[in-house]
Parts: sequence; structure tokens; C-alpha cells
Amino acid sequence: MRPTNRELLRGIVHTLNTVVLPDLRSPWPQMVTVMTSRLLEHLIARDEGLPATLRARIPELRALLAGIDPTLPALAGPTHAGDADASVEALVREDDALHAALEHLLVGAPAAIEPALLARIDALLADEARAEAPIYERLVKA
Amino acid sequence: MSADVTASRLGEILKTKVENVFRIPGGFSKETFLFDTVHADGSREALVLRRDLPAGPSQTTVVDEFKVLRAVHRAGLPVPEPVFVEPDAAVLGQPFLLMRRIEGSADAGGKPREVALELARILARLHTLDPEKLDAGFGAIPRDAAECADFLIDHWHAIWLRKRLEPAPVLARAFGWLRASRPAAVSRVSVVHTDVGMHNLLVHDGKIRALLDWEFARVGDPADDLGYARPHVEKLLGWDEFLAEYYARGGPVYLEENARWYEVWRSVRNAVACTAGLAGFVSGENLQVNQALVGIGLYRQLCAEIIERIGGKP
Repeated sequence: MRPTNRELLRGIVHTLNTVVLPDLRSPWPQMVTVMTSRLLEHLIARDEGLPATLRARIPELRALLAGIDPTLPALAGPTHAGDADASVEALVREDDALHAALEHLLVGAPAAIEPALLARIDALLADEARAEAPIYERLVKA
Repeated sequence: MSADVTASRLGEILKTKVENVFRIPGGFSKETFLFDTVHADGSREALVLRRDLPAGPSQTTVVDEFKVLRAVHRAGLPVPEPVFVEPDAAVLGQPFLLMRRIEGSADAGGKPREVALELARILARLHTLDPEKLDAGFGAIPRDAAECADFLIDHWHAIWLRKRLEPAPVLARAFGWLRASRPAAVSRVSVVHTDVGMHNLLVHDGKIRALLDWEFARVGDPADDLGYARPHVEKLLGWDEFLAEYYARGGPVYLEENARWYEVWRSVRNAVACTAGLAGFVSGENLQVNQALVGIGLYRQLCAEIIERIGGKP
């Protein structure tokens, strides 16, 4: 069977860490190589973790936005959240469109948003940040 | 991108012999190189080269930083002496400045109390300089707390709109919060460094030899510096003792509620800088892989911190 992107990325990380890095003698290229390796590890983590994260949060985001304005264009199309075959790209596109709609509401008339609704928006954004943190934490450690 | 900073190229530019060129690993918004010049009489000078990044995250330039460094150096603050600035990117790929190298490390060296008290005196001195007379190229001087805040919000909001790669409701929410919660008063409109911590100090034998990295310096609220420095100071000395020394040297009153606002603002600024750095990396203008790491990883962490801080607050 053809190797997956994830398997190939793991191979590249292994090569960088075990072949390239030990042979480098000056700090700058050593640091660049370590960072490149971390970035590739992040791509693996994103490939593994992002679909489930998006599938969980898209319905929550849709419910919140529908409660504010059910006619929002971002809510018009079918959701990919329940589609097990949906690509990561499709999920990201939907997630981005929903976030753009939420951002538009926050930019448009922030003072008009009821405090209770604002608190719900904040709570959702905080939950999102916590849920996706494992995907990004390796980058920050680097 | 760094290959052009070589001994021979620097020698051509400076018209002298150059040795020991060393690129400092790390650094996010500028590139830094150490090198020595060797003159005809055999004397040597240890210099530091700081160069802009193309499409860099901070959206600042060493050309402006040079003016600030020159001004605060003349004012007697412990900073590296700036010796040369080249605004023409054609000379070495990007604008760069040169300054004299100062020995020291970002470590209190077993004298934490002395270092913290000296930092209090340095900040008091900085915050009591007259921005109008400093000739640091700051441009229009804000007159009150609202103008101090508005300049920052407008400036970084514009960068965010120009550089953003994805929707960011957290930042939209944060900019709204910053506007709605601006500090009501400022104890004194001052020159501020805005990145005061051990990481930007060079200490030798318990004495602060230099405060580094003036790229974000501007005229603003001293609470910005004090709030940022506080966690660094509290590892060395009690905050009350630090403030007593700061006040004894004429430092303006520390307004803690302002410092809390600036804490949020700083996270927003850094998140936008992450965005700008990542945009530069993705466009291919900025080839530093750390822009991608920081632009993705630290950005998410900062957004999480921002929403934790302002969550539930109108």
C-alpha cells in the first residue's frame, strides 16, 4: 500500500533527527533543523487531532450562531461535522466560515451584544482553545 | 538569507578587517550577529549587527530603533552604544544597525537584590525623561491615557487587518475589549521600553551593563513597563521594595489597573506579531522557520490567554 502523508512525515522527522542533526556543527543550522522537525511533528499531530476537534466544535459553533441569527449565510450549507468521510480541508473551510461569521458579529456591533451572550461566546472560544491545545503545544515547547 | 553576512562582506562595507562573525541563534523579530573589527594599528572592536527581517513579525525597523538607542544612550541610560545604521536594504539585504558589544549575561549573578534595585533606578530614569526633548524620532506625543491606548490599538489593529491569514474572533473580541476598557488616566506620559525583563538585561558582576532590544520603545504609559517587568522583578526582590526604590528616584505612580490593561494589550500585540511573521513565512518573503512555529503555536497560546483574561468582561 502507498504510504500515507503521516508515515512519510514521520520518516522525514526521523531522518532529520538521527542523520542530519548529529552532523551539524554550528548552532544556527542546528536550531533551524530542530524547528523544522518540530514543525513536521506538528503537521502529524494536526493530521491526527484536527478532524476530531473540528467535528466536535462545529456543531457547537453552529448552535451558538443559529441562536443569534439563523439566517446567517455561514449556516446555509450542509455541515460536514457528521460526515465521517469529510476531508480535513472541508472541515477547516466550514470552521473558518463559522468563525468569520462570529468575528463579523463581534466587530459589527460589540456593544449591542447582550452580556449573557458575550459570556457564552467567550466560554465557547475558551473551550475551543483548550480542546485544540494538544495539537499546538509541541510547537510552543520548541 | 544569512549567508551574505560574512567577514568579507562586512569588511567591504566597513572598510576594515572583520573576523569572528557569529550568528546568534534564536531571536524572533530581528537577526543578530556578533563580529570583531581589526584596525590597521591592531586594535579591535567587538560589535553587534542587528538586521531587519523581510516581512518580519514586529513590523518595526532598526532605522527607528537606532534613533531611540542614540537618544537614550545620550541620556545616560545603560544601553549599547549605537555606532552606525544602514537604511538601504541593498547594502546587506535588509536595513541594519551596528552597536558596541557589551559583556554580560541575562542572569543576576548571585546579586538579585542589587540587580532589581538598579533596574528600578533605570526605569525611574527612563520614565522621567522628557519625550519632547529626547530627539528619538517618536513622532506625535500622546497627551493622555486615551491617546496612549488609541495609538497602540489603531496601529496593531491595522497590522492585523493587513496580515491576517484566518478568521480570529478572539482578536476581534480583544480589540473591542481594549477599546471599551482603555485606562482612564496615566500617571505621566513617559518613554517606555515595553519589553523589560531579565531576557533583555546584560548583567556583569551584579551590575546591569545594558538594557537591550528597544524596537518597541515609544511614548506611553509607564504601567506598561512596570506591569511587564513585575514578574521578572518578583523573582529577585519584593515588589514593594522595588517600587519604593523606583519612587525614591522620581518614578511616576504605578497604576495597577493600567498594567492589567497593558497585559492584555501585550498579548494582543504579540498575537498580531505572530500572525505577521507567519504571513511572511507563508508568502516566502521571510524564510525563518521559527516564524511558522511561533506564528502557529504561540499564536494559539496567546489567543487562549487573551480569552481567559477578558472572558465574561464587556
